[in-house]
Amino acid sequence: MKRIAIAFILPALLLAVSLIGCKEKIKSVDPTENLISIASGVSNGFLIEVFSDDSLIAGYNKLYVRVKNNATEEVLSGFTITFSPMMDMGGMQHAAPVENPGGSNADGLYEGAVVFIMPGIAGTWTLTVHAEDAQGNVADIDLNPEVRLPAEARLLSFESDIDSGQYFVSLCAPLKPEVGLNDFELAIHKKENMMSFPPVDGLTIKIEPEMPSMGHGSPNNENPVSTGNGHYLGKVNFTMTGYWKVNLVIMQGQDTVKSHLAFDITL
Amino acid sequence: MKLRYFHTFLLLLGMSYYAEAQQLPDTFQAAPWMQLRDSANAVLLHQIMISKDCGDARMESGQRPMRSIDEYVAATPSLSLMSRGAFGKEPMLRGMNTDRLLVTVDGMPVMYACIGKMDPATSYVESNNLDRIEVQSGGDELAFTSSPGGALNLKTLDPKIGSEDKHYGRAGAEFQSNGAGRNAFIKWGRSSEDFGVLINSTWRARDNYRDAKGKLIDFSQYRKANLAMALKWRPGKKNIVDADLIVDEAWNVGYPALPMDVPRAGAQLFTLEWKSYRPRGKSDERSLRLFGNRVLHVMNNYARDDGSMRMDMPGESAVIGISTRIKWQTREKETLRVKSEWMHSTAVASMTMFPEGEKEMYMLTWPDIARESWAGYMAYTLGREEIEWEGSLRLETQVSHSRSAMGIHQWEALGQDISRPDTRLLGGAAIALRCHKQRALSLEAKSSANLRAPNVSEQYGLYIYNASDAFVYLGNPGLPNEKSLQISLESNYEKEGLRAGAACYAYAFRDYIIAGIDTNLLPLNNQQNGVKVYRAIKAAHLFGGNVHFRVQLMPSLALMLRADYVDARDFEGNYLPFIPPLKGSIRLRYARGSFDLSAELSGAASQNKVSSYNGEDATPAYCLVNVNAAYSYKVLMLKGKLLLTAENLTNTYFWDHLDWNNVPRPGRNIMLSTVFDF
Repeated sequence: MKRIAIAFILPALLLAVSLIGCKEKIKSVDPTENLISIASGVSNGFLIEVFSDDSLIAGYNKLYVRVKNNATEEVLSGFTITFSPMMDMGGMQHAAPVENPGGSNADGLYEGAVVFIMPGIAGTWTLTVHAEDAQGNVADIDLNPEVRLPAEARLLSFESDIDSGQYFVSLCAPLKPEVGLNDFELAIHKKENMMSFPPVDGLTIKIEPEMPSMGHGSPNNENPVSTGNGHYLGKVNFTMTGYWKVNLVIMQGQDTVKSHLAFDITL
Repeated sequence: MKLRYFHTFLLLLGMSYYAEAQQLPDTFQAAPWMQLRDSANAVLLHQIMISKDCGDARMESGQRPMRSIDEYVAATPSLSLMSRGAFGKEPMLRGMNTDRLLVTVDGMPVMYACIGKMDPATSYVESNNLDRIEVQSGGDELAFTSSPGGALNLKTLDPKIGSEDKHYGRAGAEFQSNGAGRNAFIKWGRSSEDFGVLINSTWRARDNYRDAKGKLIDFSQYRKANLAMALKWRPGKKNIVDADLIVDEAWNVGYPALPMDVPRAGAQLFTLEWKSYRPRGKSDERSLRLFGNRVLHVMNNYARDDGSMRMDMPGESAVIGISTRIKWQTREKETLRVKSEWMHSTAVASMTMFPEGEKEMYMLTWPDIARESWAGYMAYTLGREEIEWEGSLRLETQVSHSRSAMGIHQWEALGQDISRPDTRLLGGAAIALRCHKQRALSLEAKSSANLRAPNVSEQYGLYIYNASDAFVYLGNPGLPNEKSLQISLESNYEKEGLRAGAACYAYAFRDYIIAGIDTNLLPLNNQQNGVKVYRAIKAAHLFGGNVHFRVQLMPSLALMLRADYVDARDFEGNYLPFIPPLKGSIRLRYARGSFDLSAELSGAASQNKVSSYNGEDATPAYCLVNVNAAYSYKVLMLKGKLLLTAENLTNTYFWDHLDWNNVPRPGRNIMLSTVFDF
């Protein structure tokens, strides 16, 4: 009888263990493993590599630059990186908002961003990456990146209801929206002239997500607040997958810069 | 042996029902294995098995053989049914629904897989495979659950062994005029000295029924098939191995009170049990049981052309567990029973909506919750001349966690962290005092204290739509355990054709779990009234009672009567939702020779004690007339029965208070059924 008892218990225990057991993930080592290589070029003995999270779009693109000694393949830090994007539309040229990297991170990557304010359809974008270190070593590469229009716009541009100034509101996060709470980050720039797009801080932003086909919103959203350098960080809550519309109102003090703005986000 | 008789006179509550349940296996009653089975199950079943001894099985055998489990439940004192349609009604015991009532099959918990409780375990078992329904409450439920609402055990038929090698079988068919109900079953068994097998198969189908005004009730149809197999093996003189397998499939099931239907609901249940017992002398027993079940419930609104968005709401639940039981007779009238159980259960349910030209919308409604529990139960019975004491104790730990990252995110977005397991200590303690006088009169007083954990919907449910009040319900991961204190009194008298009984009970709850409106949250669409969140209110109480009475007026004429009442309120005196009204029935039965005739008046008083806060409205009283005629025949080797039944003979238009959205019940229904043994 004991044998029969054991014959019952053993498979049950095995099943229990298999239900409880879990797998461990191994952390990746290469910092660029999850990034896409945009371009690379050699200048003045330095290899400059440019990466991004995804293929480049009209909107906010985080860029990662790595500078190597072309001969030794040694990753170099201590460079100052400057991005200079330029749109050539034949008759006219304009630049775009940029966030130049402050310095390299622990992985040797220089993180910055470029807001391509239009897709590369009406003209050609040129992005100049300029690297310079304290010893005066200089390297420059020019890229002609493909800038696509994403399926759902990640950039809004409009004229202010207050002073008719042109604003560019780009959606930095969520990049990969998930059901639940997501960081909701905007970068706001204002056009000063064709070549200058400084960030705008101190605005008040209200967000309200809604599901148009259901007519409901979601609770526990947090309005983005200014974190400096034109960035605003809040939280958006998607209670289910599907097509969401995140409505925005942008205020400057008591005055409305623009209302009836929205980002479409499908997850 | 005296103890055994003693029990016989106790707990006669609900006897009229048990007696009816007995008629199911009556042709399968064979003395040797019956004794075996009863003693081996006594740890769990000592109360109900008693009704076996009353010998009423044959007397009540004029009932329809194809009655569903729901019909049996509805006819049992203390039990009532919450109805969302013609199929899968939710059992309630003493006014408490499956939030507090555990439904088990052969002692194995079976969870429903529908977030709307449209598929209680009673819908996955068939009555013609049922030996009896065991109602455990007032502390007796602690052997199965910590929940105060009690336990409803569906004891399936055992194959018989211990007789000479032979086959036995029974088949039946039924046709119902209202909704063209077609039911049929066949069972076949084979027994030998040490081995028995029983196979049981049932089919049920019904189209939309008509109410008493002749209106067709759309989406009240159902189809169902059930296959049950049981094996019994006696490898030695002191051992028995039982294996049970049930496969149940329902399809094309409509729910007229809901906006959705069920294209498929399926369940697979198995138990494997080894029992060791002493054939004589002290009734020491040991058993080890391995059990598991899986329930899949598919729900959608594809059949409805009300213009709403296409929607899928599947759910799945599973249970696996091991339990051991020991019964040890320490002295002649002292018995110790110990049970321990390990159980692992899972529940996952989701909702997908398909807007035209857009990506589908998907969310979890049960965020893949896994629950693991360890439970220990101990009961000690001490008998004296005319008095018996019993004390019992249950301790249980339950650990719940979500296995879904998406589910954890969904809850995070509602401000709750469910990423860590939730551990709870549950259990209860009970004491019972039973006394009897000259075997005719018995009295029992029971008291118990229970600690109940919130169920999956109450703790983790996400936007679960309730078609009764049109609110969506949110769980509350931080809910405290519900505490309850119960006291009940039962008294029974039986002598010379007269049987009478009365019971009353009262429950006091602390941290009573019930959903309340949260105006800060918005519902999912504008057809919904709002959002309710489960919370623990300070206190609530419930009391009720029932009486039953049966007198044999003449050798062939019996009169039966029963009535049930419950009242439940929260601490502010507001009525709790969905409490059955005063219900009762009176039945006259004439059985002589081959004929068995009965007429019944059954009904309910109006229910005005309603919770308008929960969208509940008052229900008028109703009274129905049911008649039944059975004729037994014997042609050559074939022994059988022919039955003609009329339910709601007077074609009364009515609905019960526990029927959601006041969907009218069927009008007159004439049923013709036959059953024969082979």
